[in-house]
Amino acid sequence: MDQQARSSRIGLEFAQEMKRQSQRERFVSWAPLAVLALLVLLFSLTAEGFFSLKNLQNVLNQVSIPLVMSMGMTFVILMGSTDLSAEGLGGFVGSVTALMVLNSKTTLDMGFLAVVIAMVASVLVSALSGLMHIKGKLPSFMVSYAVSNIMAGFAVLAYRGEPALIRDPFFTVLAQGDFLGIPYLTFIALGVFGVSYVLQTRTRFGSYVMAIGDNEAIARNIGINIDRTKLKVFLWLGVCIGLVGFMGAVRIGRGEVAIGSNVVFPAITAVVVGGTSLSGGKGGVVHSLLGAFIVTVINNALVLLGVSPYVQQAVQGIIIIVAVALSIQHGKSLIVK
Amino acid sequence: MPKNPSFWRRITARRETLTRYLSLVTTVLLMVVFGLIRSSFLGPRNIVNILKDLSPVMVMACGEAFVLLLGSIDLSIGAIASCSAVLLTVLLPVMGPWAYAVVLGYGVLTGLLNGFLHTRLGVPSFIATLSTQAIWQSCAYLISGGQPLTMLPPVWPYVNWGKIIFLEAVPLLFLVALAVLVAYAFINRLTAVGRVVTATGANERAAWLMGCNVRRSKMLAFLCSGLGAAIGGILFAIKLKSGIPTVGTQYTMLAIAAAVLGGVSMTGGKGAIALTLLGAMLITVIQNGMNVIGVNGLWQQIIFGSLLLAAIYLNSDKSHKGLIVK
Amino acid sequence: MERKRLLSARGITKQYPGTLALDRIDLDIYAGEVLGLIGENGAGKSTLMKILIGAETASGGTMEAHGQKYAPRNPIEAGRMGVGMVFQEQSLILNLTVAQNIFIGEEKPFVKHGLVDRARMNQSARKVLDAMEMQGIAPGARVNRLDFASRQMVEIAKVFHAVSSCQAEGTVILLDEPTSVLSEAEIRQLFRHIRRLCEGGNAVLFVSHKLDEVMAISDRICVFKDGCKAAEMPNDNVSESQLYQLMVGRTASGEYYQVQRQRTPDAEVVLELKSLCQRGFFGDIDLALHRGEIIGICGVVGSGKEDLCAVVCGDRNPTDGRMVVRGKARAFRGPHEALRSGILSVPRERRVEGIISEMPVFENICLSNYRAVRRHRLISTRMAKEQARRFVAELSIKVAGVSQLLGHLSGGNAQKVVFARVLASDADILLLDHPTRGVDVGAKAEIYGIIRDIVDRGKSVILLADTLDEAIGLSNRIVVMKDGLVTRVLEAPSGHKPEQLDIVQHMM
Repeated sequence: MDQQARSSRIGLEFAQEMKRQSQRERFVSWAPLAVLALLVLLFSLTAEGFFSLKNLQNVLNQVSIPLVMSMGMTFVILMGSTDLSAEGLGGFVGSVTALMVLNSKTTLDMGFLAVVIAMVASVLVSALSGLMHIKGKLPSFMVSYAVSNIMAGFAVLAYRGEPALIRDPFFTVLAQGDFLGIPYLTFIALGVFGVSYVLQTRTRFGSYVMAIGDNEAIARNIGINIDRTKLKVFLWLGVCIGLVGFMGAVRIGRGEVAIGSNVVFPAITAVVVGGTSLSGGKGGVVHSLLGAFIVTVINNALVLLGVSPYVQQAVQGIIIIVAVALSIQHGKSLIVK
Repeated sequence: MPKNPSFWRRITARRETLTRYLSLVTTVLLMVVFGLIRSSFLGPRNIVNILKDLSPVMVMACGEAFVLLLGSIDLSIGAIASCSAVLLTVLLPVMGPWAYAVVLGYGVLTGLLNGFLHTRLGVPSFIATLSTQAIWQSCAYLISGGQPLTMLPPVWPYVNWGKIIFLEAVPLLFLVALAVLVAYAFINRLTAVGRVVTATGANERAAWLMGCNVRRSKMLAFLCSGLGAAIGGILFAIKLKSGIPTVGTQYTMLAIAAAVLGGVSMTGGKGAIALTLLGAMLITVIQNGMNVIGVNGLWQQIIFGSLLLAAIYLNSDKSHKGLIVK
Repeated sequence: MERKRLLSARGITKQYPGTLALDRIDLDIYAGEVLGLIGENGAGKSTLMKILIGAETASGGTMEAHGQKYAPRNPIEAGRMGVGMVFQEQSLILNLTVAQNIFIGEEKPFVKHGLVDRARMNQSARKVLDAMEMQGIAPGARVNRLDFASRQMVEIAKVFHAVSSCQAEGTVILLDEPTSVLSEAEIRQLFRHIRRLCEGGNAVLFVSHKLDEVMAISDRICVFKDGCKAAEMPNDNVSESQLYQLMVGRTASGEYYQVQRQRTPDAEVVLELKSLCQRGFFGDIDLALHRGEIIGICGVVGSGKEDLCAVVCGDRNPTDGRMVVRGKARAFRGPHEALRSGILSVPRERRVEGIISEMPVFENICLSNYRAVRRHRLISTRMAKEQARRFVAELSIKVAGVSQLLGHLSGGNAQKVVFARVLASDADILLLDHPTRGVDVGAKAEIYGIIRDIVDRGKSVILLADTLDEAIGLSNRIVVMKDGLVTRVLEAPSGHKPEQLDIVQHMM
C-alpha cells in the first residue's frame, strides 16, 4: 500500500509541475501590458512633456509604421519563421511609389494607381522569397536577407542618386492631416491591426498558422495544407511591407531606400516583446499591438529625455535580448541555432 | 532545359563538388573576361588593389564561416568591423600601437558576448547578433559622432605598414589576412574544439551526448567571428587611413556570401574554412572588375544578393526529406 | 446474440529490417465493447495501432471496416472510415480554443464570407462536449488554460467527433496509454466516458501498461507477446497472474547472451546513486554499480528509466539526491562533464543521437576522446585513421574504408562504430540505452560479445534492454521500475537467472 502511495506521488509531482508551467505562461502573457503601464508611469514621472495630449498624438503617429510592420511579422513569427526582407523591400516600395505619383523626378502622375502597383510588386516579391523558403527548404531569415539586399539595390537603381520628392497634394494631406487629433496614418495602421485581428481569430488561416507554429508535424497530420498556409503568410507580409513602404514615403515626402532601413528591427522587437515566441505557436496580434506601443513609447521617451538618436537602436537591441532571454524556457534541452 | 531528367539529377548529385569549383572557375573566367575588356585589370597595380580589397572580406568571411559551420549565423560582423575601424582611428593618437591590442581585445569581447547570449541565454543566433549589431552600430556612431574620422599625419607611422608590398604584387595586408585564414583553418581542422564545431553543426544532439563540449565550441566559433570582424575593421581603417562608422555595413552580407560560395552549408556541419578564400576572391573580383570596366556600382548589391541566394541553394542539403526548416 | 463487427484484421504482418514486429495477427472489434490490449514493450501493440490508424502500412494481411475493405494510407483516411486514435502525446494546438481544436481542418460548415462563425462553432462544440458529458469544459476556453485531464478529454472528444461525423454506424477509437497523465479521479471519469461511448454502439481499443486499469474497463482482453497474439479472452474470472503468465515472451538459450562469460563483479563500487530524484519523473533511486557489473533496468515506457539514464549521463539535472562516482559526489552540467568522470551513454535513437552521419567513420570514433589521437596537442588525422582501422578489425565492422561517411553504413555496423567510439573514449561506466535496437540478428550477437568484452576490461554497464529476455540474459542484477520508483531488485547470477514472470509482475 505504501508503494501505491509513493508511486502516485511521482504522478502528482508531474501534474504540479505542469500546472506551475501553465501558471507561468498565463503570467507571462499578461506581462507586456504590465510593462507598458509601468513604462508609461515611469516616463510620466521622469520625462518632461511625456504625459501630455500632444505627446500622445506623437506616440500615435510614431506607432503607425512599427504597428503595420509588426502585424505582418506576427504571422511569420507565429509560424516559427523570420523575415528580414522588409528592409530592402520597404525601401523599394517607397522609392517606386514616389516615382510614380506626382513628383519632382518623373512625369508620371498615376495617383492612387501607383500605390496599387507598388503594393502588388511588394506582394509578388514577398511571395517569391516565401516560395524559395517553402519549396527550396532554405532558412527563411537567410532567403529574406538576400532578397532584402537585392531589393535595396533595385530601390537605389530606380531613382539613381537623387530621391524623388512627392508633390501630390493628396499624399501630403494624408501624411500630415489628422481626424479628432489622431493622424490619418494611425487610422490606416489601426485598420491593419483590425484586419490582422480578424485574420488571426476569425479565419481558418489564423488557426492553421497557429497550428503550424505549435507543431508542424501535428498540423500535417490534421490535414492542413502547410505550404499553402505558409505562402499566404508571406502574401500578407507583402501587403504589410507594401503599406510600410508607402506610409514611410508619404511621411518623409520622398522615396528613398532608407525608408526601409529602420522598420524590421523595431517590428521584431515589438512582436517578441509582446510575447510572441520566436519558435512559433504562442502569442498573437494583440500581443504585438502592445509590443509596438512599448517600443514606440521607449523611443519617444528617449527623445524627450534628450538621449542621442544613435543610442535608440542600441536600447532596442538590449530590450530584444532581454525579452527573448526571459521568454525562452530554460532547463529544456532545446536546440536553437 | 534538357528533356532528359537524369541530366538534372546528375547535376544536383554533384552539387557539392560543383559549388566547390564553381567559385574558382567563375573567378578565373571573370578575370579573363575583365582582362579582355580592360587589359589594365590584370596589371600588377590592379592585382595589388584586388588583393588589398580582398583582405578584409576574407578575414570577416572566415570568421563568419566558423559560425555558419555551427549552423548559426552572425549578423553583427559588419557593425563590429565598423566600430573597430572607428575605435582604432580614435585610439591610435592616444595610445599608439597599443590601440591594435585594444581593438583586438574588443573583437574578442564582442564574440564572447554573442556566444554568451546564444549559448547561455539560449537566444537564437540571428536575433542575438541582430541585436548586438544594433548595439555596436550605435557605438560606432557615438564614438565617431556620426562623421568619418581621418587619421592625421602623426599616426601614419603606425599604419604605414599597410603600404608594404612584396614582389610588387603581394601587399602585406593580404599576407596578414591569409595568416588569419590559415590559423582559423588550422583551429577548425586540427584542434578538438574546432572539430567539435563541425560536429555540432552536423548533429548537435549527438555531439552533446557524445560528451563533446558543445558550449565551449560555440563560444569559440563566435569568438573567432568577432575577432575576425575586428581584424577586418583594422584592415579597413589602415587601407583607407580613416575610420568610417558605416564601413562594414555591407560586408556582413558579402562575408556570408563568401563563406557560402566557399562551400559552407547554411545548415551547418559541412564546409572548409580555407575555401572561403575562393568565395571572397570571387566577390572581390566582381566588385573590382565592375569598377574597372565602369559598370554602375548600383548593380552590385543586386548581383551579390542574387549570388548569395544561388549559393545558399546550391549548398543546401536536400537529403533530409522530412526536415522542417524555419 | 449477433454482435456487429466494426473492424476486423486478418493476418496482419509487419516486417522491419531485422525484426518481425507483427506476426499474422487476427483481431475483431465489435460494436459496444472495450477491447483491452496488453503486452510488454516491443510486443507489437503500438505497431498494430499504427497500422490500424494508417500511420504505417502492413507488410501483409487485410483489414475490413464496416464490411468494406480498409487500407488507410494516413490517419485522415482512417477517420473517414470511422477509425480514430488518441495519441499518447497530446496533439492539441495550445493557443487555440477548445472549439477551434475540435473542428480544426473541418471548419467548412461554419465559414461564411470567408470568416468563421465562432458563436456557431462554439455551439456545435458544446453539443459534442455535452454528448460526452463534459459539461465542465467551455468550448470558448483556450486549451492552454485547461488542466491536463481536461485536455485529454478534449482530445478524445475531438477524435470522437471527427470519426463519428464521417461514419454514423459506430466508430472505433484507439486509446494509447490515455491514463498516464491523469489522476485517479480523472481516470474514473475517463472510464465513464469510455463506457458511455460504447453504449452508443461504438468500440474502444484500450492500450495500457497498467494491468489493473485494463482489467477494470475492458470487456475482452488481448495479450500480445513477441509480435504474436498470445491470447484473447473475455474479461471475467481472469486473474492478474494469469495475464502475467501469458505476457511473458520466449526465452533464448543462455548461449545467445553468452551467459557463460558472465563474470562476478568486483567489490569496488564505481557509481552510487543516493535517493536520486527528478521531480515528476522518478524519485528515491538508490543504486550501487560495482566494477565489472551489468545492471539491467526494466520498466515500461514512462516508468522513469529513460529519465534516470538521462540524469546519470549528464543530459539532464536531478532535482534532488546525490551521485557518487568512485567515492566522489558529482553534479554534471552536461555529458562532457559526465565523460570526464568516466560516464558515457550509447543513446537509443542512433541516427539522431548516436552518430554524426555526415562525418567519416574515423572522425566519429575519435569524437568522444580526441586526446588519444593528438600529437603535440594537435589532432593527427593519421593517428585517428590508425585507431579507426584498429577498431574496424577488432569489432569486425564492415566498411569500405575508414573515410567512408557513417551515414552510409547499415544499422548494425553503425552501432558497432558507436561502440568503437565508446571504447576509444576510455569511459568506464557505460549507459547502454537499447544497444541492439534496429540491429539485425547476426550483429546483435556480436554486440552481446562486445558488451561482455567491455565488462571483462573492468568497465561497468547500466543496461536498458530491448527485451526482458535480453535484460535477464546479460545482467548481473535487475532493477525493476514502475511509475518512477524502484519496485524490485533481483539478483541474476549465471545459472540462477530469474523468471520473466517475476519481473513483469513488478513492472505493470
